[in-house]
Amino acid sequence: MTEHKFFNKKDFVIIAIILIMALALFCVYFLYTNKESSCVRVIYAGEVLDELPLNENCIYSPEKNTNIVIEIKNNRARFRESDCPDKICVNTGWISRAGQTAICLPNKMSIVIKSNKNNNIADTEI
Amino acid sequence: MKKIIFASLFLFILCGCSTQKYSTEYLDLFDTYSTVTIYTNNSEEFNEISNDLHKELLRLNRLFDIYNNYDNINNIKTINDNSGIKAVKADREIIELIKAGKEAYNKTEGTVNIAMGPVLKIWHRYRENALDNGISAIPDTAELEDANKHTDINNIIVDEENSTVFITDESASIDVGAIAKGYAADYAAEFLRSRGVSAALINLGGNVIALNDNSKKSWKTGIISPDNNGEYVDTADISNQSAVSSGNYQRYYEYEGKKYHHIIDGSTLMPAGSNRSVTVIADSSLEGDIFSTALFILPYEKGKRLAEENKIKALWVTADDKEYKTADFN
Repeated sequence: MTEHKFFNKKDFVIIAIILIMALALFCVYFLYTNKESSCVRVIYAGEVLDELPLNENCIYSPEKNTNIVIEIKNNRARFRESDCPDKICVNTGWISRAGQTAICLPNKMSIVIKSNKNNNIADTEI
Repeated sequence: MKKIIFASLFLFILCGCSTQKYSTEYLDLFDTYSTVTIYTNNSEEFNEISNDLHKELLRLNRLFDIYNNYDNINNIKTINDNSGIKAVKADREIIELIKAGKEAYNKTEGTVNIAMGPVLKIWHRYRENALDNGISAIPDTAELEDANKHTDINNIIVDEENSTVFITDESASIDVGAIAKGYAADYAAEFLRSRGVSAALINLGGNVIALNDNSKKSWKTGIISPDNNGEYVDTADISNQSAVSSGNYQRYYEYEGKKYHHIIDGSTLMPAGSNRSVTVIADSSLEGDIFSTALFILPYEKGKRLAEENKIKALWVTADDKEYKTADFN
């Protein structure tokens, strides 16, 4: 018999090692990303201005527009004040779940909750 | 050697098959905030498709505009400006939208009426005055009733053969606010399909439309509570469908402690008062737009009958804070 099998014993060992390494890497990645807690991302015209931790209460005005006041309280965030005419941003109220956004269109300002925990979040909301 | 070739081929196929999820937002469409998520092979492809889509939607936005004129474009404002004067040559999309508007009138037994322009104009003026200038007031009943004499849907004549629209009454005007985003969302979905996209999620300021294939079987839409507390009333997994909400909790002004929102009931000429929010799931976003508006305006019992007759899935949060949904809602 000169014909070899396509995979021999050695190959299986190599495959096993690669799989174990991949699994280990995945675990490290998973543990690392899971540690990060949620934050509030402040966006102006598509550009990220700031990221604020959601678990620290604060009142914040972005330098780009000090007429806007963003409030973080008890793991929720909202537009507390804005000089825009329609106040849709303020009317949106509190947001707390990953992916949720509040938008001030006239001021091109938006806040969005970011989280690395993938706890069954919605892809979009209406 | 054979093994190496086999292994690299395998890896290559694994990588080559997977498309990636990319997202962007548009801030200058239909006076609202829009997001688009598309699965494409790479970011260059995504940028190209999303830029082209943006251009198409900007074009529709101009065509359906009732407040601004643009150079070398006949839009709906042009048609309104020529009411009682002459028929206006219009692009295919305007003809289709207005035809859809006339059908919407029949489907909703007159609840959704694109000929409500004269009445909606008055409310628009009062809302702008309250929000921009801080002068809060509500229109006189007499003024509203006067305007309502010019809201007959039959004032709008569509001539498909010559591709023109004519408003026969000089005081009449078209307002497509209740259906334009729905049409545009369907258009956007069709545009993406024509570019080979099979998994995408578009949210045009509350008009959500989902494209799905085997790699992305459905999209989860969170339906936000009218209490504005960051909670969801419900979530809906949608697949090659549209979800649309109509509500009174974002776009409004206050007068003497009472809120006046933007969805006007044609039978009372006042902001509709039966519901706080209605969400509809339909096969197209135009259908979704039409029925979310109609069900929002109608009292629950009437709306329920209309939804069932038209096989529309719906979720209500009524004015007295009761939640209802059709049996097949998610």
